[in-house]
Amino acid sequence: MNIKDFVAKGHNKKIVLLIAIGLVIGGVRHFYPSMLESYVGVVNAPLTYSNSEPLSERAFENLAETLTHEYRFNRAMAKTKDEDVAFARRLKVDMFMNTRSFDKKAPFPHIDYFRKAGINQYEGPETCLGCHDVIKIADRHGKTVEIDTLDDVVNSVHFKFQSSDSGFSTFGFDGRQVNGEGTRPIPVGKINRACGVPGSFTWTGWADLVKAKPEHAHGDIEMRSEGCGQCHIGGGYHPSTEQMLPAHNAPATAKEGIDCLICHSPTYDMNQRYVIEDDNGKRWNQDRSMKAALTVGQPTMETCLFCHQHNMGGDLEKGLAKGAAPDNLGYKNKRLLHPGSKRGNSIQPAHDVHAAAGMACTDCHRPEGHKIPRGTKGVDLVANDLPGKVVECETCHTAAPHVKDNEDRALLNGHVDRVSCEACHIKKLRDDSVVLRDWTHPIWNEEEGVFVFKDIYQSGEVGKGIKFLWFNGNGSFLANALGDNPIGDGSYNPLMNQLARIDNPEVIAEVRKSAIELKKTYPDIDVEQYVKEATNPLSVLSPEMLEKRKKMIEENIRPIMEKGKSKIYPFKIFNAIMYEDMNNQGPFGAMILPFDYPTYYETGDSKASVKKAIEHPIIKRMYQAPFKAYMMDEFMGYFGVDGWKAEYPVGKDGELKNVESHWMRQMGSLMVNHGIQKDGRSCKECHKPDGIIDFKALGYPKERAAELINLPELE
Amino acid sequence: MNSWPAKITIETVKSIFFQTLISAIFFTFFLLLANAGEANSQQNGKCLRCHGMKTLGYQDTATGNLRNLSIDLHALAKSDHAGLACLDCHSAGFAAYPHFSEARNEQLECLSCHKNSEKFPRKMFEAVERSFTRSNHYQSAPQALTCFSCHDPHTFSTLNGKSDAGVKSHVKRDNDICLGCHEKSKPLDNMSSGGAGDLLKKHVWLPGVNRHLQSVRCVECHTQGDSERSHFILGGEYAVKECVACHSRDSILTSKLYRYRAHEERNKVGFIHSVVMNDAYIIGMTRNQWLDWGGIGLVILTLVGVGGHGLGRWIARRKGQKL
Amino acid sequence: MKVTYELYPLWLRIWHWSNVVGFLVLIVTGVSLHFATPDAMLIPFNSARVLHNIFGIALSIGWLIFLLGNFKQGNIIHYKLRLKGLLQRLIKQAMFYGVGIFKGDHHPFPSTAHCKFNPLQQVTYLFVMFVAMPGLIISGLLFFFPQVAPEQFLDMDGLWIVGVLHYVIGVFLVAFMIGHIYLATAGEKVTSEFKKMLFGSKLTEER
Repeated sequence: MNIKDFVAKGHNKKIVLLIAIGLVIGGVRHFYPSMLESYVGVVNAPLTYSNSEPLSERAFENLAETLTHEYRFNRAMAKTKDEDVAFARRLKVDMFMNTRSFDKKAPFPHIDYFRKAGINQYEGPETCLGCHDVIKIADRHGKTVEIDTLDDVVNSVHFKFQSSDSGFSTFGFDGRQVNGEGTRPIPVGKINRACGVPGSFTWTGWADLVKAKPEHAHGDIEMRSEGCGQCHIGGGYHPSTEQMLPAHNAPATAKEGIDCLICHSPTYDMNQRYVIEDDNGKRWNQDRSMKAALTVGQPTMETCLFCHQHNMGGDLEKGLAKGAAPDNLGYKNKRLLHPGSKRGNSIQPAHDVHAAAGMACTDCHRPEGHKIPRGTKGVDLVANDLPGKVVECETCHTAAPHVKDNEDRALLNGHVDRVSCEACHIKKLRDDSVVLRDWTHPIWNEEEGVFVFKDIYQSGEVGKGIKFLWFNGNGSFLANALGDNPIGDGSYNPLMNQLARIDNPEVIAEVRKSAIELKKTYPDIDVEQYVKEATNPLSVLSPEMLEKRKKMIEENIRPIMEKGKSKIYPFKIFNAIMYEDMNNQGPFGAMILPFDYPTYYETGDSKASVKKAIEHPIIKRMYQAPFKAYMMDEFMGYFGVDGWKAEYPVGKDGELKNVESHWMRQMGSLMVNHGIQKDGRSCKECHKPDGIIDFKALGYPKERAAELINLPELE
Repeated sequence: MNSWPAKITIETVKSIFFQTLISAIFFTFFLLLANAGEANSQQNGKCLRCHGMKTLGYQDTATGNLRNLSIDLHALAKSDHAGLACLDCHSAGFAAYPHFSEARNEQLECLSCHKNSEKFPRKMFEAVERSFTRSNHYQSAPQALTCFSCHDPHTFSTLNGKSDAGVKSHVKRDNDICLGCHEKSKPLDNMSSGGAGDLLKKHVWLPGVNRHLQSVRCVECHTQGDSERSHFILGGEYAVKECVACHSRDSILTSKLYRYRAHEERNKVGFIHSVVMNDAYIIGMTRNQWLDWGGIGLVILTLVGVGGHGLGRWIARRKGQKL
Repeated sequence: MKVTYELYPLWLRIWHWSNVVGFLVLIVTGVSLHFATPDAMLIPFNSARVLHNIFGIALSIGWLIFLLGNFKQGNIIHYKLRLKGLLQRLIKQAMFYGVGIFKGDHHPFPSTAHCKFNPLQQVTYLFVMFVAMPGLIISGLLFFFPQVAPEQFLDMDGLWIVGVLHYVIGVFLVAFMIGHIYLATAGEKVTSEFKKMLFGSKLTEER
């Protein structure tokens, strides 16, 4: 029977149709990903790592022996740390090392597993999944469920840095909850959140090589690594862009790049984390050595801090654990350190009572598989893997946490209803916490041999780097804590007051000092104007814009401030001056434009750096119709701007068009929850005239505010 | 000038003098009272600045239990004791902070105010005290329980019973007092009564036991008489265990749970059951006179009609036979 | 062709008499519950409650059997109301009860295989079996599951409306029962209808 007969038979039309559909689907499945790849300008290619080498049996055993010995030696050293006499300590360590019961259990069970399975080379996720293709996890209801491990990781925020689901505690300035009711869900999170701290964002600043001329090299060029990818667990040439695009998943090659060991191996070598360049582009190297693989286990404080040191104590913190990221910058192409810490919220034992107690991060952030809870509160636009799962002091410390038998415990507990634990138990952040950062006027750094941003003002002090705000767990789209005084007189308005203005004269003086310093390099700077804009960013808004802002706050934001239960929390405040696309300006700020790191660090030409960064295909796509419709309009709605004006900000002459440098119209407020000190504040720090809390500004009625600063009991 | 006495006698002067005097005394008294109120609220404000904190409290070092020192400001304002100064009951040791040791040793007695007072009619609290001291709560462990064990003086309000909140919430509030100790499924091991045992099991004789426990106050069956006597709580063996005690026209509920409503209703309409019916349907008790008479009337009418028709047929047949 | 038709098949007779027993018990216990007093007039409250529950359930099951039997056995045919000329027929039947019966007239609508009921009977039975009985059963069952009853109804306890409904339908059915028993004496002889219901009644028709 030939084809004609086959078709002629009529009833076989269906089969032909099915084949046609199959062909189309097959074609789409094959071509669609590569179409998308070329559309957004990303590359996927098989990833290889030079340190993933097979070990001989003998080398394996030697390594196993060394690792076990090192582990036991470190324990013995820790146990004898109070012994002052060096010789005595050495003897004691020896004794411990020869004591059977001191460590009978093998510290690294995977040594034996690998030995038995004949694994002598670590080849990334493939090796792990050989045994752990599925894992059993306890879900929120305590039920044990079996899940696919790779799937779990690929869909975790740690891999994709975004979510299209609901569960954000973030509200747009248009009053809508991000991806909540009345929205068209879009993928949002760290991946596409332009942010003033790093000055760029993940798409344009993933992995870069910078030519530095450090002091010690005497004019020679040394390569430096920089980019968001240094902390993220994907290993490709770009962040996991694919998962943001419609009907598309992370490609297999991207999954092969997942860095399991950076979380699971306490002996992970951060010196392996540097940018490498091959035919397909630049990406971040990983430690795929057998040494790291043999020590795998549950994440510890140290493994979490490989990345999170950056947003806890910061890159300049000293006295960190052995192997910590800032002390191990790379065997080559050393990573650039970031001065001016984001939160200055140290979680080292000296500064944090929980770290001192030897707790692991996951004791409070109790994971479900590879999904790690960040709690129900959050001011920023970071996706939440486990919305609704609480991470609170109260879980362990109960609602009556002050237990010492002193006469004030009841009163201290009484404060719990209105005051967060953090307000009293985080007294100070690190001094190098950045409050105001200028990206537009880079300064040559002699020592590093690169141009760097200028931190106009740094402080971890209350009233300077820390502000107290009412907080009900929700934040605005530009990271402003939302909440309201439960007995307030309606005057509390942080978006017009606390977060929109710096009025501490000491701070203003410091800002002026920095401006004068900048003027040496940039003579065009008008110091007074500069100080005014930095400390009062609302001053650049037109009167109409200001009116619109007030209206939007009252209509859209006030109802969210009044939601739920508010308490007073401390917030690390932050603002940055960057280039903005003024076509997309609203009352709360305009779309900020990213910097290209190499141009910025090498030439110090901030405008040229912006121009270079926005040449990135994905930024060009952002300024085109499909992306506008797919997500930008919705995104700008949250931003407080009516629709995305997709006019590419470079003119025909090749110069930036409609681009101005501005501070964001209000300061961001970053939650600080770590660096918890055992002893809280004393009553009089707050309850006195000119105390650290301005009760009037927090919306207390006049009489109540007067009462609160003048308590007869404290006399 | 007709109203002015034509002749001013010594009596008139006396009367005017006394009237003025009495007015003055009253006026002063009211002023004092008003000032006292002001002073009270000022003084209370001082206490409530801390004790109004919702989370004021601590974990008792001996027992580990939470000792709640917080006072619900709204409930206090609505309570019968709203007009009092904190220090009226909590003696002078509390005037200043800290008051740590005093607080620990404080001994308070409701009856020190409430007994032998003109303010309370019918020697009410004397009766309450008599009932209580004869009750199982006192007899089985004389020192264990005080008024405060069940009644929170900061929230107590007789108005609660008369409120419009509905019977269910009234019942729940009162029963929660009992269940605070006599928890539903926990045996009361520490009670010298020999253990009340599983509360639900004990009441299983009640049809629809949960429904009963939600709709009826414990004291309805476990005490006899009016509200003063409602403190005369005896062991389970003496409790009312008869359905018709409640499920009948002369239900004991009308003198207890529905006392206030029944009273109001009696004044309004003259008979009680129809309004009681509006709150909860209780078989045997909830009756409407009109419906009752209507029902009986319908049956009687039918019987009369049928009887008449039958008689007619009988007569007609006899006539027919005659013909 | 001659066809013999049983007007009162055995299942129907069994149901009918069990219904009689049930109803009598329910009336007595119902009265005891509604007019409860400490010195019980008829039956003590607690026993009355138990009996009323048991017979109430039995009656409900009986009604279901009746319903089932009607549809399965075709007895439902007697409940099919012909609307055309219904009013005239009703008046005619009423005239018979009001006037004709005393004159010794013949029944205007004798039983046939298509309809054993006269028009008045048919309307009354339809109402009793398909409106009043379900109402009685549902309101009764709601007492077993008070949580299903509306929490509040017109600002009153939800069970109140259930209770009143149950009571009113109950009273109505008592009145119906009296009339029903009485009219059963209006057959050819005073006892003939009772005999039919006890032993059945065969009807032979020409088809």
